[in-house]
Parts: sequence; C-alpha cells; structure tokens
Amino acid sequence: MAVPAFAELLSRHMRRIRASAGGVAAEIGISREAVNNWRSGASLPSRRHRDRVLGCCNYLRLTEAESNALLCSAGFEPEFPVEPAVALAVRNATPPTVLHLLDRLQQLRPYPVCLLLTQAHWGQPPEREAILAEAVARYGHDRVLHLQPPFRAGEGDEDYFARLAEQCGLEGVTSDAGFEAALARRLQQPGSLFCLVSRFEQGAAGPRDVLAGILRSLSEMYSGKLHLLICGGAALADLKYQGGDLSLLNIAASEQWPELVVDDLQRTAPDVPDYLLARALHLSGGHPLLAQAALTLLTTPSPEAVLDDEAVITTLSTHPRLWEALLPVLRDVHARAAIGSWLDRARLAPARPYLIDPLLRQLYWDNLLAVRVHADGAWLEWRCDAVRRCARHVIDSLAELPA
Amino acid sequence: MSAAGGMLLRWRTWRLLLIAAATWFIASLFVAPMLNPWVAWKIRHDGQSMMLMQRARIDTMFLREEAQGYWEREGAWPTAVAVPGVHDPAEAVVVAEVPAPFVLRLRFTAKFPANAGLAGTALDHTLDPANGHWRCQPGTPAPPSRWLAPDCQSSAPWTIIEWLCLLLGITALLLIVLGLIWFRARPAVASILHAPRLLLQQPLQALPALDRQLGWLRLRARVLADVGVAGVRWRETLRHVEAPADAQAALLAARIGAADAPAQGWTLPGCVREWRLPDTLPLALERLWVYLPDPEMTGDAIVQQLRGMPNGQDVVLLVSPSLQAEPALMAYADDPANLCACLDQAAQTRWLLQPGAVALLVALLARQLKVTRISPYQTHGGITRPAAFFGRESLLARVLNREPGNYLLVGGRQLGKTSLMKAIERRFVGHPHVHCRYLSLRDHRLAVRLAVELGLPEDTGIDVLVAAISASAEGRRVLLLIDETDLFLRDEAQHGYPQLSALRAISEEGRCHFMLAGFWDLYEAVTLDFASPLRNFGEVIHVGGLEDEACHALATEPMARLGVHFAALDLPRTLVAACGRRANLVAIVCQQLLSQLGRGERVIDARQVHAALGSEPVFDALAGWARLTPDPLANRIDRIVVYRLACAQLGPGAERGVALEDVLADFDAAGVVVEAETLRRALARLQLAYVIRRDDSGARFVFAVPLFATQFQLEEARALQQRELQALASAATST
Repeated sequence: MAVPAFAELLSRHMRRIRASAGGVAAEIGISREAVNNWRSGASLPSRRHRDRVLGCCNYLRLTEAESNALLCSAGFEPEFPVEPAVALAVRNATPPTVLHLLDRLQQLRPYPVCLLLTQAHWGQPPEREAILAEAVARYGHDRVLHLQPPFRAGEGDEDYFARLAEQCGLEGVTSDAGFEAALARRLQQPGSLFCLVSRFEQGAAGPRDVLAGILRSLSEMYSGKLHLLICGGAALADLKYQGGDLSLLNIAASEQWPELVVDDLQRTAPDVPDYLLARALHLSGGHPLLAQAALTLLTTPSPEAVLDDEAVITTLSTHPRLWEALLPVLRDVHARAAIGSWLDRARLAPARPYLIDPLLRQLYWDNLLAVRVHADGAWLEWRCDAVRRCARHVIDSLAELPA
Repeated sequence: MSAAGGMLLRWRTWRLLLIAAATWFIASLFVAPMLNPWVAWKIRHDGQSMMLMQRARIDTMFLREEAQGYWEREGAWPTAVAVPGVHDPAEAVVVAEVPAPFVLRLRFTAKFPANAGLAGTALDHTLDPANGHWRCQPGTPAPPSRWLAPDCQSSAPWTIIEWLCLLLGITALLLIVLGLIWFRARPAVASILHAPRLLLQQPLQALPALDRQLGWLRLRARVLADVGVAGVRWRETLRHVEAPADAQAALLAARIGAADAPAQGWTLPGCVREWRLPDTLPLALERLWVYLPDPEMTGDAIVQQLRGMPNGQDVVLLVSPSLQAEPALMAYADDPANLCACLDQAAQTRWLLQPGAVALLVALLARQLKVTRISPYQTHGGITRPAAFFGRESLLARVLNREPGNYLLVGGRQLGKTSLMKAIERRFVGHPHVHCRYLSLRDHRLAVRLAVELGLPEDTGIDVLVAAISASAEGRRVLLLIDETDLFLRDEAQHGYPQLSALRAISEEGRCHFMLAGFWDLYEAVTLDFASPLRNFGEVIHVGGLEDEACHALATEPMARLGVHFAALDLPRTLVAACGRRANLVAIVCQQLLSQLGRGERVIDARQVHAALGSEPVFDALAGWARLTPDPLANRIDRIVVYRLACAQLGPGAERGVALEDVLADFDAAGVVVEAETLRRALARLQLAYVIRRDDSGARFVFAVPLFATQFQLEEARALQQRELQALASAATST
C-alpha cells in the first residue's frame, strides 16, 4: 500500500482540528516556518526529529494507526505495535492477561471502574482488539463501547461530545448533558455496559474532566452496570495519583499491564523456537520494542557467525527509542548526575504503585525500568543491560559537548 | 402424579391392609376362633382327629369316675375299668389300663387317623386319695404335645394368671422387637426424639415422612416446640416440598428478603431465577442466579450443565434437588475456582424453618466461594451498603436528631465524606418530615447538574430548581446534600459567589437546607475568605479518622461474618493503629488479608497482617497527597513539609515529629523566604487532608497515618526535600 505523502497527511490532520502552524510549532518546539515547510512539502523532518513528529501526533490527537502512518510517511519507524484489526475468531486464543483484566473488572464492587496503566511502547491499551472481542463475548455486541476522546475542536465542547457520541453510535448529541442523557438511556437497558476508554489522558483537560464527571455520575447512578476500563500511561497515573480532583479516578482500581512473557512473543512469532524467544526476552528485559528488535536480530540469517549476547546488547543499546527516551532526561545536569550514580546499582528503589521521585517516575513510565519481585519485596531495576549501556553512551556524549 | 407418588400410595394401602389382617387374626383367635382362619384351616385338615379327641376326653372323664367310684364303694382300686355303655372294643377311642393303685393309663386306640400320631400313645391319670383330685401326665409313648390338654402337660399346669402374664410378655416382646425394627429402619426419628434440634439437620425431602412418623407417635407438637418452629412455618415448609420450582424459589427468596424474578436467556434444564439481594446483606453481592435443577437429573448431569455455562462473574446458587444428587453438586460447589454455591438439602431445611436465613446464606457463600468475591469491604468510593458503614454515630446524630439546617462537611479525600452523606440520605428515606436528596457535582456547574438530575432544561435557574425539588417533597422540608463542591466553590470564588448567595437566600427563606461537602476550596471559603457567603452559613463538620471502636468493628465484624478471625486479640488493634483510623485503609488492609488466605484457611496471623500492611493496594491508597491544590507553589511547600517529616521519622534519631520551627529553619537554611501564613496554610491543608496531625503535646507534627512513612526511604526523602527547596529558591530568584 502506498504511504500518503507526509505533507498531505499533516495538512489533513491539522485541518481536522483547525490547528495553526504556529500552534503546532509552539507545541513541539520548532519554528513556524519549519512546520509550514513540512505542510507544503518543501522539506521533511530530519532524522533527529522523530520525537518532534511524535509530539505533533499527540498534539493533533491522532489515533495509534494515524500516528504510525504519519511517522512512516516521514520515513520513521512506527511508534505503536501493530495489532490485527480483525476480532479474534477463536475465544480460546484470548490472552490470559485480557481474561484476568475483564474478570477483575467484573468483580469490582460497587463501582466496576478500572485504570489500566501501561509503560511506554505498549499499545494503549495493549491487546485492544482482544479486549474488545472478549468484551463482546461477555457483554454482547451492542453493549460494548470504545471511547477515544478527541482533541477539542473549536472553542466549545460540543464537537468533543458529538464525536464521542458518534463513537458510541448515539445520535443527536450536541452537548455534554446530551451525551450523559443518551448514555444513561443505554444504561437503562438490561445488562451491563462495557466501556473502553483509550487515550483518556491525551484529551484536552476541560472536556476530559467533564467526561470523567459524566462517567462518575453514571457509575454512581447505575451502580454496577457501567463497566469502565480506562487506559493510559504516565499522564493518566499523574491524574490519578497527583491530582485527586477527578473523583472518577479515585473510585477506580488500578491495574498494571504485566511484563512481557515468552507466550506473548510466541503469539507474534509462532514459528520461532522457544529458546530463541526466551533469549530475546532475557536480552531485552521484557521491553516490547527491544524484544522485537532482539528477535529480529536472532532470527535474521547473518553471514557472520551466530550473534552472541554481547553483540545483541550492543545493537539494542543503539535502538532509537532508547535514545529518544533518555536524551531529554539526561540533558538536565542534576538528572544526569543522579542517573549516572544509579547505573551501577542492581536495585534503584522499592517499587510503589506511584513513585514519589519524579526522575524515577519518568524513567519508569518511559519503560527504562522494570519492577522485579524478590524475597524482600518488589524493586525497581534497570530493564536490561542495553538500557544501561545506552544511558552511559548518552551521558558520555553529552559530557563531550561544550558547556 | 409421578411414579414415585403412585408407588407410595400403593405401599400405604397395602400396609394398612396388612395391619388390619394381623389384628383380626390375633383377635379372632381368642374371641371368635370359629372365624379365625388358622383354626378353620386346622379343622378342615384335622377335623376327624379333633372329634375323636373330644370323644376321648369325655371317655376319660367317665373312666376316671368309674375308677374313683369303685374305690369309694369297695375301698380298693379296680383292676380293670371300661367306659360304660361301650360294648364293642373296636368302637372305643381310648382303653384303660391299671398299672398301679390309683393310676389309670388311658391309651388311644387305632380309631385315630395315622397322621394325628395318637394311636398307641398313652396318658397317665393319677388319683390323689387324700383330696380326690386327678393329675394327668403323658405316658409311654406320649402323645404329640399339641394334643395334650393344658392340665396334662408334663409339668405343673399354668394358672390363668400365668397364661395372661405369658400373653402380656409375648406382646411386649413383640412390640419391642417391632419398635427396634422400626427405629432401625428410621434412625432419624429416634435421634430427633432424643435431640429435637436434629430436626433442623434433616434433608428437606425427608420432612413429609418425618411429619407423618412424628404424627403417629403424637410427638410432632412437642418436637416443633422444642426446636422453636411455629406450626404455620412447619406446614408452609411441608407444602414447599411438593410445590413447583418457581414457587420454591419464591419462598426461599422471601426468607432473605430478596426480590425473585424469572431469569432470561438461560438454557439449563430446570428452573433458573434471578434474585435481587437486599442492601442489608452484609456481603458485596447485589444479585444471585438461583438454579433449581430438574429433580430427575443426576448430580453428574447437573454439574456437566454448570460447567458448560458461559464464564460470567455472577454467583449461581444451586438448590440441591435430592440427596442422591448432592455429593456431586457439593464437590463442584466446594471448588472455589467457580462461582457456584450449593444449598444442600439440610441447609434448605434450616433456611425454611429457622429465622436468620441471611446468616445461613452468608456462611454458605463464605464457605464455598472465594471470600474476596463476596467480601463486604468496599475499598473505593463512598460506602453504598449499610452493612459496610461503621461509626460516625455522633456526626450522624448531629444531623439526624435536629431540625434541618445547613452543614459544611470538610475533610480530605477518601476520608468518608461521601459515605457519610449517603448514610444520611439512607436514614432519611421515607422520613415523614424531611425530604433528602444527594447530588454529586461533576464540575463547577451546580444548576446544570441539578437540572439534569430533575429532568429540566439545562438553563433553568437555581430558584426554579429548588422550587421543583420542594414540589416533589410533598410538603416535607428539603435537605439537599451536595458532594464534590470544590470545583464549584473555586469557580464561585472567581466570580463573586453568585450561586452561593442564591443558595444562602433560599436557605434563609427556609425553602431548602444544604449540606456541602468538599476539601480545600470549601475550607478556604469557610475559614479564610471573609467575603464568602459560606461564613456562618451552617455548622462546619470536620471529617477525620473513624472512631477507634468503629475501626475495630470494621476490621473484625465483616471478617467474623465470613467465618474469618484474627489469631490474637491485639492484631486488629495493631492494624487500626497502623492505618491511623482511616476507614478506607482499614478496609483495604482487610481486603488484602482476605485475598491472602489459602483455601480453607480461616485464621489471620501476625505475619499476614504485616504483609497486608505493606501491600501494593495500601501504597496505592496512600498516594495522591502531592497536589492538594491547583496552586503549584502551595503544593511544593506541602511536599517539603512531608519530606521533612519523613526525614525526621526515618532518620537515625527517629524523632517523634517536627515542629514548625524545624520547617522554618529548613527554609532559612536553603535561603528561601516563605511567609508564615503560607506555611500555616500548608500545615492546615495537610492536617485537613489527614496527611499530618499534631502529636499529643500539640507542639509537633507527625504523620496522621503511621503507615505513611513506610512509602519513603530516608535518602530518597532527603534528596527530594533538597530538590524541592532548590526549585523553590530558583523560582524565587527568577521572579
């Protein structure tokens, strides 16, 4: 399939939300001229500016598929894992994590509201199609909603709720009250209603808070009937643990997406032998992108001898996503000193549902740290040696730069 | 009628006929032998011998009179005696021999048929010359014993008293034997007579038979009285056994106050009902699917059907149809991996006969399901079930036992404001004088929220909305409980309090009273903003930790209902103290304790309490204090105070807390100028949020929840405090 031109896609998405070149430029930290050049096709983003394009995707509130398409059109790798678009035909194939997640949601009383928190480079949520397919099997086809809060269009919230209503198949909705009333009518019908909310954290704050209030009110009014699964990452965790203004999140239980295991890799690479999957998992430390990269390295025929672990780690440590995650953090001198002192430590800190230290928190949500359980509790550790090595390279590179 | 019912009726008819026949047989033997079938049979088969025997007895009488008369006349014993009037010896049925003085040997002749066994046998009759009495005994050879007259047995003859005693003894023995056989066949009756409470352990299907048996023994009323079961309830239960399945489900539901309705979309053979459980049920369970299988199905077939059901999260209560099916059903239900509980036959008896079916249901579910599935502990959001709400009695009394007024409920998040409001709303349901309504705001728009709630246009004014509520109150006074008011108050403060002023005016007119719940914005409006219409608007109620006893009850009572207990009496106290009497933390820890229990484990020890106190959900609940206001500077000062306190408590000196001077000294050392009022507000905010509290002396601050300190590490807290102070100093320098 031909990839549409970057300029065409960017213009289309900017028009959709009536975003100005100045707004985009201010948001992602480049000049307005540069954005205009991108739109006109006069230039493409440079290789160093993948994070800016990703920021642009967030600002324009693109879906994961749209974000991947925009990145590809600019010559970058996709950001989000590509999941099959078709529903899982065989229910037995539903991943155990998905079954556990929905079991847990259905058991929550009196408010079946669950936050699914995921570190970076997982889908939001991971296994989305499997979740929706399982939900359809449990709740019924017309009792499953998928809300993807859009970026606010225009000055008012009307478009926001109209688009949400459109996603739910609700007609004639022009305001938040109308959306609430229409959703309430759905809840009055027999049976529970499952609602998956993805990218909740990325929506504009104003209407997002109103949406949270609506969902909270409906949860309370129709106790036990509205089963909400709200997905997100660092920003959603901040909303829950730092704010507290959104009582919807206060009544929600939290679930973390579990660490990658061999079975997960096997479903994406069924022909690869288990020992190779286990090796890729070990070398990547369970990082989803690094695991895929390691698997590619280990399964691609090489003219040289078989790659040893050291060679794989060295290659993984140059992975662009690691650099993109570490570079902005390590630019700060204090952070660089702190992280530099942590690199030799086996354990960084005790694991907590919400980390108090903002630096640790950022590293965790960037998926550079992992929670590992030991006899004396759960601890934060570097995800893998490739991450440590990359951090050292970045620190060394920054140290070589003139002050 | 079923085949089993027809068979039962036939058996009863036959048994009645048998008893009648036996009675008639025994009675006729003594009263009317001619009507007795045994006698009739004997006559039919041995009539000739009996006639000859009758003649022989008459001849015997004559022979004895002849011999005795001769002795009296002649003074000597005759040497030969013959029956007078019998001249042909071949016609004689008995001939007399005189073997010795005073002895007559009477020998039966061959006139008797051979099958009688009498021909040739002899009887010796001996006269006692002193008193003239004859004595008879079998001779040689002796006649068969059945032909011997009662006075002619080898031993002394029995008197009539002895005969009656024998009859009585045999009858008693017979009755004892029959009784033993009966009790052996029906041990339940014997055991119930011994211990009437055992009636409640009998399977439901056995009750009709027990009822009949107790009726025969005339002991039904006594047993029921001993057990404390009213006759009406007993008869209702007996009718229940024969009732159709839907009527059975309805009666079972009525015993626990559940709403019974047909369940849709189930394909199980038999009857499936949906029960809406009452709010008062002390478990987190809103509904049950109740399955009454077809009585003809075997246990294995029922289990197979249950295994094939779609995997839902609803609990299925399986009502055992019979004792035969029960072992398979109980084995399935005892597996906590499924969500099926089995109401066995004996439990059905107790459910129907005894009061307290709810407790029975709770115990049954606790035994057969994962306790975490039905745990009454609510760990998130306002408490919705009355059974899960503990304490706050004095606060409730302040509101409930007075004339309606305005109240301002101030407290940190997750401290129980919503639970308290919902409890107030519940207590006012059906109140004759007060109409209470709960409203939770979702943003700053009170009027719009109220309009949506009342089904009025969004632009309806607050006056009209209050009038609409008053109209629906039907003359009762209105108390409006408004939750989550912080965003509303923040917006009001920015716009000069237009709506709050309206609320105050409405309240002063007596049209409606309000209870507002919130955190910092409400506190500020009440105590710090002199222009706020909330000043002196109503009574301020601070919501803090739960009362100590209520916390203890929260930690132990729901556990006890699930059959779970603490190994030591001081463990709940330890738990409550560690949680700083914060109700949601106590509930979370208890929920964790339940989730840690192994299968069949029902006792919680100190190790488990320690693990639960350090579990992830506890840390999850402790987070959320770092941004208590929308003001970043205020939040930063809050954090500095918290980190300072963590350093003090975790440091080598393990100080008891920090004083205001300590915190000010830190600011000074970092070169940061913080106004005393700003710091005072921070301390007030942290106290209101139940993060810190003053110690007993009042001079130092400590963490309100002792567990709070465990989320920090000393080095981390020091580093974070330094970082925050540096950021504060940098911000001050840049401005």
